[in-house]
Amino acid sequence: MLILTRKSGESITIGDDVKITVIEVKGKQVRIGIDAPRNYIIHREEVYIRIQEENKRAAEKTPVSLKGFKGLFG
Amino acid sequence: MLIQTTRFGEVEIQDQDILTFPSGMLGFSAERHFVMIEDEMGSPFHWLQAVEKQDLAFITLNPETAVSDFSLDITVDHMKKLDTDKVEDLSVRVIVTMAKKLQDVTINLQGPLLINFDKKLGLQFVVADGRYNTRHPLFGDRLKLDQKQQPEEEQQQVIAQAG
Repeated sequence: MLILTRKSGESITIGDDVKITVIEVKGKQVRIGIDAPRNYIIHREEVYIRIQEENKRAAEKTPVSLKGFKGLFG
Repeated sequence: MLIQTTRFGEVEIQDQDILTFPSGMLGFSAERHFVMIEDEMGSPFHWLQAVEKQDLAFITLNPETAVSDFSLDITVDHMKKLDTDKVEDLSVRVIVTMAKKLQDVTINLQGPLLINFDKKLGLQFVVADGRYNTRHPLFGDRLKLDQKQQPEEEQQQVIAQAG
């Protein structure tokens, strides 16, 4: 991993079209601004991981058939 | 063509039955092609079976069956990815996580599937704000899901039948 030290207000550019700016450093929290083309999908990592994990859980728990779940409907 | 599936055995599908998820699903980015298979018992659930991975299948549900006022902030970029400029072209499905006890069955409202059935394109949407979570109890207070008459449009979306 490339590690750079930046101060509040300073930026990092990635390629031609992504710029990440440190907006504010306050205690343990850092506010980060991201300028990127709209087709880049940007989310907090934990949201992504939560959905990934739930997908895996759902896939693992998918039963062979819904026959045992007949009571669920109808 | 015939595909092999763990749960349904050999299933005959047509090329036009295949839904493509260009980015896959989170955690399953290698699987891009799926078919929807109607549940044999005529339940509100549909199976989303991976074409190239026989043991991968999700159970999906129209969220309207389970929750009221389910809303997503769909952007122009989502619509571009699904090759449409009309939000009405898009259908929403949620993935069901089954469990032995009914009260433990959940639906993933935070990562719903957006599908353009006409163009056979889909993506997994990420709800970034805190309004929905990944483990919403499917049944809540009531332990039975009303088996609603599926509208005609929905029936046309059932594009592959288990063999």
